[in-house]
Formats: sequence, C-alpha cells, structure tokens
Amino acid sequence: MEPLEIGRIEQELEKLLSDTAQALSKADQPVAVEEIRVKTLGRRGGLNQFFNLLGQGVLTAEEKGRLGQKLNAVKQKLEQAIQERQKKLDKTAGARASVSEDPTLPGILPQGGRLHPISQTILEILTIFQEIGFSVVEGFEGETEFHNFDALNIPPEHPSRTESFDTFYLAKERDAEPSRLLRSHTSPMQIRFMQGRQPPFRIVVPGRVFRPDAVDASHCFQFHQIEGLAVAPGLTFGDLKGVLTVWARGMFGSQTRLRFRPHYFPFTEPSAEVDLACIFCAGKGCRVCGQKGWLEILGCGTVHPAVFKAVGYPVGTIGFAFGMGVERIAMLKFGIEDIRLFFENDLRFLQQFP
Amino acid sequence: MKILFSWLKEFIEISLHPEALAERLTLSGAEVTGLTQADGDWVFELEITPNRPDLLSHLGMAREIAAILGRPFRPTKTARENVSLMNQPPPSFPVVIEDTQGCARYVGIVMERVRVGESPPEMARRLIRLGVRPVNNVVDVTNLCLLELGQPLHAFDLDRLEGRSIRVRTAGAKETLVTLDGVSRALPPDTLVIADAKRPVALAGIMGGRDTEISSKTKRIFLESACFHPDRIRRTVRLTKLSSDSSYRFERGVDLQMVPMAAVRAARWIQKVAGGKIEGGLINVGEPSPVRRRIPLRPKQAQSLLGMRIYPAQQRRYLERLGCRVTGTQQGYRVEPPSWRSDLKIPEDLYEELARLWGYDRCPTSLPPVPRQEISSRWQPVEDHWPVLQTQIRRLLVAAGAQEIMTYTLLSQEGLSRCRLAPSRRIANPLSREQECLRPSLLPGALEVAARNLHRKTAAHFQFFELGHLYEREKVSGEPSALPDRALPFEKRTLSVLAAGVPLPAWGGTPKGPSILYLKGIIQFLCERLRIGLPREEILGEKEIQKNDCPCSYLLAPAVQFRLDDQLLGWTGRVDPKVLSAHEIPEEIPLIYAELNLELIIKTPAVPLKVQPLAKVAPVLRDLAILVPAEILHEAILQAIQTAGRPLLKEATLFDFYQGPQVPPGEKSLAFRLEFSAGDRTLTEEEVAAAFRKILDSLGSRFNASIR
Repeated sequence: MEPLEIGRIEQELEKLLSDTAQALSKADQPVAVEEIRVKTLGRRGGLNQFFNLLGQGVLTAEEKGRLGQKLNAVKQKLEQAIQERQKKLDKTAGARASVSEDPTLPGILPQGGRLHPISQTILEILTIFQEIGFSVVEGFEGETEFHNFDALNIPPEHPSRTESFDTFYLAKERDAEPSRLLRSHTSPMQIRFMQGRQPPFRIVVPGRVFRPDAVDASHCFQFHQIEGLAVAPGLTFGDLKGVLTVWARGMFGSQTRLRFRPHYFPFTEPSAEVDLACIFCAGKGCRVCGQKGWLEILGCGTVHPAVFKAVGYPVGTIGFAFGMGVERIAMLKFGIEDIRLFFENDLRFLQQFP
Repeated sequence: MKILFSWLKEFIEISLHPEALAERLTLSGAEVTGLTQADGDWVFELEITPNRPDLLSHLGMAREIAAILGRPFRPTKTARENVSLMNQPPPSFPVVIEDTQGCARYVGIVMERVRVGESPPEMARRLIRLGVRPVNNVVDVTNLCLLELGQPLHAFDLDRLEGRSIRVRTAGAKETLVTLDGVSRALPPDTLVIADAKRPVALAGIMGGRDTEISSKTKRIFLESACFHPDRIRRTVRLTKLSSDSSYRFERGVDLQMVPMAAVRAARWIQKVAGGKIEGGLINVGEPSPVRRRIPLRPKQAQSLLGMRIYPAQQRRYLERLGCRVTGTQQGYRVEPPSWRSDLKIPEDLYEELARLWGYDRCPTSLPPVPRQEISSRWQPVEDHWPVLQTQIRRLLVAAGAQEIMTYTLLSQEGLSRCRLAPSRRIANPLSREQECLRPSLLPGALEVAARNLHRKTAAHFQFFELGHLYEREKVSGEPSALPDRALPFEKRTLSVLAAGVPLPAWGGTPKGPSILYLKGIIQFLCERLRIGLPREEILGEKEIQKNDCPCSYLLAPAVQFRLDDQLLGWTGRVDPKVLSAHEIPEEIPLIYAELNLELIIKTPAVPLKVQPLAKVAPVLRDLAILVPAEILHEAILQAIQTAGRPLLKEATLFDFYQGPQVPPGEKSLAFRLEFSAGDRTLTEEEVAAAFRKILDSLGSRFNASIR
C-alpha cells in the first residue's frame, strides 16, 4: 500500500461533498435521495472507506486526530444536505396534494338559480320587440265577456264563445254577478289598453291564457301568449310583415324565412297566418314540419274597424295586431316534444336551460 | 274538407300540377293540409276558415280557383234547368214557414215512382273517396249534391209524412224525435224542426228522422232544399251535441241563390239514377233572394293600407273575377258582392280579397317609422311598472339561488284540502274535477312539484319560486265588482318560495338543510334590493295558525308573518309534516314555504336612492360574545345593543349562535360583530372601550347577560 497522503484524502473528501451536492440537486424523487444516502453514508458507502483508514494503523496519532475531525465534519455536512433535500422534496409533494396546487379538481359552482324556460322565452321575444319600439304592458287572467269577445268583434253565437267549446267561465256565486271568464287569448288587453289611451303606440302583452283542451303532448288547458298591437296613422300591411320578419330573424337566426297566408280572425281584416320555414330541415320537409317545410307560428292582421269602434276610436284609425303561443315557439326552438314538460317542473328538464 | 281533382276539372280547366295547385290554394287562404293520390285521381284535404262557407263544395272551390288563376269558370247547366222547372205550377203540397227567423227560404220538389236501389259504382266510388258512406241512390244523390254545390238537401219518404204537408217550426215542449242514427232525442226548447201535420220529422239542417227516411220500399219522395239561420243551427248542435255535414254548412251560412238550383240539380240526378217523375214545379216558400249590399271601395285607400301598388283597374278586375259587380270610377268604386260571399261587408273585407289575389308574399316588407307626435303637457309615455318589476323580482330570486317553476292555475278540490285550503272560486264548465278550482294559493302547485322531484330523485334539495296569479275568496260586501284594470278584484299577483331537503355531501357544498331563517333571508334580500324597506315581522304561534280564517293553516308554529306599513305582505314557515305526508313527502324532510302578496309590493313605492358619502376613516370592529338566558329573543338583545351603543355604534351583526353542552343549561351564547365609527374622525381606544362597556352594562342589567 502506498503511503497515505493526508492532503490527498482531504481532496477526495471535498470531491465527495461536491459530487453529492450535485447529485442531490438532480434528485427529484425521495427514492433518489435515499440512494444517494446509501451510497455516501451507508455501511458500504463512500465515507465509511475513509473511516476504515482510521483503524488500519497506517496513520500517526496526529494524523488520526486530524482526519477524524475532518471526517466527522464531512459526515455532518452530508447528513445535513441530504436531510434538507429530503425536506424540500417532501414539501413539494405535500403542496402538490393540497387543493391550490391541483387545478384538475372540480370547480366549486356558485349556487345560482334559473328562470323557467317559458320566462326565458317570453323575455327573449319581448326584448326583440322592445328594440323596435314596442312597450311591454300586462293584463290579468280574469276577464269580462265584453273584453274577451264583444269588443273583439266576436258575436255571442260565435263558436269560440259557446261555453262548452272554447272558454272557461267562472261559476257565479250570486245571480246578480256578471258573467266572467278566464281569458282565452291575450287580445282583451288590446281593448283595456286602448280604452285608456290615444294612439300612436306600439305594445306587446305577454300573459297566461286558458282553453278547455284535454291535456296531451301538444295541448294544455293553460298556456302563454304574446300579443302585439301597433296603432298609428299610415301603418301598412307591409309594416306588419316587416315587424314580424325582424322578430323572427332575431329569434331564429338571420336566415329565417316567413310565409304569410290569408286567414280569418274576427278581430283583424285582412288577416294572415304566418309560417316559419322549418328550422329543422331548412324547408326541405321533415318529421317536425310534417314534410311541409313550414311551421305555423302565429296569427296576425290589420285591426278590424269594429274593434276600434268598440273602444271609441274614430273611423279611419289604422293598426295591426299579432298573437303567438310561447310554448309552441319554445318547443320549436328547443326541440321539446311534450308541452306537459313545462308544467311538470322536473328539475332534469328545467336545469337544461341556462 | 276533401276535394277531388277530377271533379274540379268538370268545372274548370286546370293546367297546374295538383301539387302546384295545392301551394297556390294555401297561399290564397284555402289551406291544403293534405294531398294524396289514389287511382289516378288526387284528393285535396282542405282547412276552410269559418268565414268562407262558399268554399265548402267542388263548385265553390272551382269558382275560387278560377278567380285565383284568372281562368274562365264553367258553371253546370242547372241554372237553365231551374228556369224551366220554376215556370211550372207547384204541386198541391202545403209548406209553411212558421218560424221565419229560423228559416229564410224553403224549396221542395215532389217525385213519384222512384226506384230506390244501389247507386251506380262510379257514384259510390266518388262518395267513398270523399269519406261518405253510400246508402242508396236517392240519399247518395243528395250527398253528392252537397259535395258538389255546398247546399245540404234532405229527401223524405213522402208516404210517411202525415197530412202531406211540411211545417218549419220551433219544437214544442217535450217533443222527441228518433234521428237517422237511431237515437231518440228530447228536443231542446227553441230547436228548429221540420214537422209534418203531426210531429217533427227532422232536426232542421242537422239530421232527418228515422221514421221518414228513404228505404227500399220508398216510392214517392219529398226533396228539401232550404236555408236555415246559422245561429239557430249552431245552438241546436251545441245543445244536442249532434252535428253533420249539413249542419257544418248551415252553421256557416249557405248561398240563398243556390237553394232552388240544388233542388233541381238533385231531382234531375235522381231521375237519372232512380227514375221517377217530378210532380209539377218547384215548391218555393220564403224570401226569394238576399238583399244586395254595395260596399264603397276607394282604390287609393286600399293601396295605402296594404302597402301594395295594385292599380285601380287591376283592383276592379280582381273583384270581378270573384263575381262582384263593380260600378263607379277609379276614385271610388261601388262593389256588389255575389250572393255566395256574405262574408264581404266592409271595405276592409275587400282589401283582403285584393291582397290575397295579388299575393301576400308580393307585399313589400318594411319597418314602420316611429310616428311623429306632439308631446303636449298631457302626453305620457306608455308605462306599465309591472313587467319591469316582475323581471327584477325573478332575477333577484335567481340570484338567491332559486329555480323558477310554473304550475297550474286550475286545481282539484282534493288538492286544496290536502293543503288545508278551502276552494275560493270555481269554474262553471271544468273539463274534469282535476281542474275545477281556481288556485287560492301557490302552495298546492309547489308541493306537487316538490313531491314529484323527490320521488323521481332529481335532487336531494332544491329551492323553487313561482310568480303567479291566485284567486282569493271574493268579499261579498265592500269590495268593488271590478277594478279599472281587471275584471276580478280577487285576482292577486303572488310570489311563492319553497326550499326543501338536505343537500347530500357535495364538493364545496355546505351540508345544511333549509330553515325558516333561510326564507326570511330571501325575503329580506328581496325587500332590500327592491328598496321597499324591511318588513316588520310577527311570530305566528299555534293559536294564530289554528284560527279559522288563517290563510296559512298549512304551516307549523312558530311561523313568521311579514307586514309592510301594517299591511299583510305574507308569511313563511315550515310546512306541517301532516300536509307533507298527504303529498307522500317524507315527514322528516325539512320543507319551508313562503308566500308574498305582490300587489302590496307593486303598490309600495321604492325609496329613492340617495348615495351616502363614504367614511374616510375605517371603522373599529369589536366582537361581543355573551351568555343570556335561553328564553331571551335575539330581536330584544339586538335592540338593546343598538340603543346602548348610540351614537358610535353603526352596525351590530349576529355571527354566531350556540346552545348546547358548551354553555350552562338554560342559557345560550350569541356573538355579535360591532362596528364603531365617528364619521371622519379616528376613534380613540378609550371611546370605543367606553361604548363597548355601556353595551355590556345594558345587556347585563336587562337580560342578566354575562360576557363569554
């Protein structure tokens, strides 16, 4: 064995220290740190070789003392470095497990409520009309025969007046009580509004209406309507078409096409029924539109002179009116196949709406 | 109504393909809802609006198509035959119209030696294709005439008519008739009947009687063609719930001029298929022809109202195509509609005719301008506060975490009793007992929805709200029968809120069931945001809830009642578990309900907002935790703190409440956060300490409270 040079040993120890520090800085797993510990401080580790020298009798007492001190200092340094590294790794691992460092955990949703789909649809429809100058007014569900029928040019023997067909009447509690009913359309609000006001004006009237229809997938004894009425000198049938076309494009998209067909309503003349080019097949014909390519969505027309007469407006007054079913529009827009879903209020249905 | 393409072509040349024709008809007002091809022919299914009874026949449709397409129209030869028959003296067969209001015209033809049998196959085929069951050659001819000309006809077995006479009269009391369908019917008063010398033999315009029907033994027939008043027929149809192809047309009105023509056409046709001899001429009673109307038409006005540039000469041509007689000049026409167009009465009716012949789709589409109007001192904007307010309320409840629901306005009486509610108002003609009562509260609907969602396990807990109209019991005296804005003074706009269930443990969730405090919080939130002031609260105990006239007897005591300026705003409380179990909701599920009278909120003006200047110095915060005897209410403690803390105490808020093993029995612990401030000045430590001490002293002396 070559004579030991204490100076060289000290150099090697310095190297061990720096190598270990470098290895530790690269160790990013607790396992790797443990490996380093075994390699340096372990029974067969690097440092023990040097400790073994102390017992081999090759060193002078003075040398022994000097090396011993040195070895203990290195051992302490190594232990400290390894411990520090281990702590640091543990800290990172711990932090990763906590909430703030795992962005993949589910977000915590605020407890927000929702509007009923009918409310949402009504608001959407009204907003478009408000943008083109219509004001929103509302009436009540209970009505008189005058407002629901007579004033709207629906004479007493008209089929929609005869009780067993089309309108719910309130049971009288006293004989003297006037005949009252649940409105079968929102049109009576036309009369109430005009009775208190002079033209020009444009209004839209949302509200609940009632008809004695047996409940099935497409009928219900209650539903919602939106009525429109514009009265001003110089209005034309073309203006009515324009207002409804602008609405339909806002509601169903800018490519929407409408078709106006002559129809009959007692309170408008000329009257029209309006079809929407089927939004499911773009007018080609499908199951929803019954292969017709068109979906009936509303009725409209120029206000019948008899209606203006009933509210005391002068001869020659001009106006137009329209009425649409909210459930029908929502069903078309959202592909809902059963009207009962609106009144069942199953959360699985309601929570599909934003 | 069904129309055969082949039959149309007997009246008019049509070069259009049936599909193209269907499209044209739909766009001109006669909506084609179905088109089917069968044995080389086409069947049109049409939906005719009630104002156009003239289209309820092949002749009528052909006439309409001729007008739409601008093609010549060839009426049948019946008109000429009519004349020859009219000139002959009628047979001796008295027909008397006793009810002249119910029957404008009555025409009859007597035929002898008729051989009743099966119809020729082509006739039977035509009927079947149009959905009519062939009966025998005589009846089939009357049915075919109805389909061809739109005029309902009826053939009686003349030998079964007693006294060889006909009377058109009102049914007498207790008269009955066995109709063709074999049903014996008690005739309602005011029913128009055809009677012989002794008894009713037909329900006028609706259905004949079985006793006088055409059978294989019939030799002599009496053929009826008449015009009955639509209202009378409609009323009888409604009362007897019996309708037919005939009544369908009479209810809408038939062409008076067609009455004799159809009779002659049918008689000639019967002769062709069943032989027989027409005895004498036409029996003709009643008004011979309708009063002609002249409608003024100003072409310029038509143009401007429609927004269509249809020139006056074109307008005239369109109207003439429709069979109108047009006189006058281009400045003003006088238009006489044909006998079959009784729906044309006023200029606007003519505008629609012009518009549909021109084509609705050709009308230029425009937005109306905002009209110029003088804004005088009397001018007011159109404003209805309610639509804005209700949207605001809806949005606030959504922000508070509630889901909006919409439930039925009509409920069953059982549904009301399950909620301990008495019916307020009923429907006179309900469809079923399920929809017999107008809702006096929004609770039954809300509970039904809650039960449904719990049963379907859609959620373990939920908050619902509904804005709806309810109907209170009408007060017999004192209340007006109608308010200016509504017909029913007892119709009230109302808000309900329902919270139920305990949330399942959830990510980021707070696992706590709702309590009465939860709904109180929502109501406070709502009132604060609407700026209508905080409502005053009153505790409803057992005694109040069990009172007879308590509107919320479905709640469990203690409940809370709210008042705004002494007026009852509403209430909230836990729903009685017995009411829950009546709805098959487990009793242990906490279910809190609140109902607020929106009429009061609408009437209460919002406090105008005046922004307070912001304090320049931050407030001093101190926590106060005290022990008080358990029976002392929070409200009293808070008031005492507020009073004792004046003027430096700005805010006192409860942040903790505890009652349990940690505190001595019979006591409870409350902790308040106190906020002291003196506006723009920094408070000294001594000032705060003094104020805090004053509060403590006050609580100590009043409630025997001790600091914790």
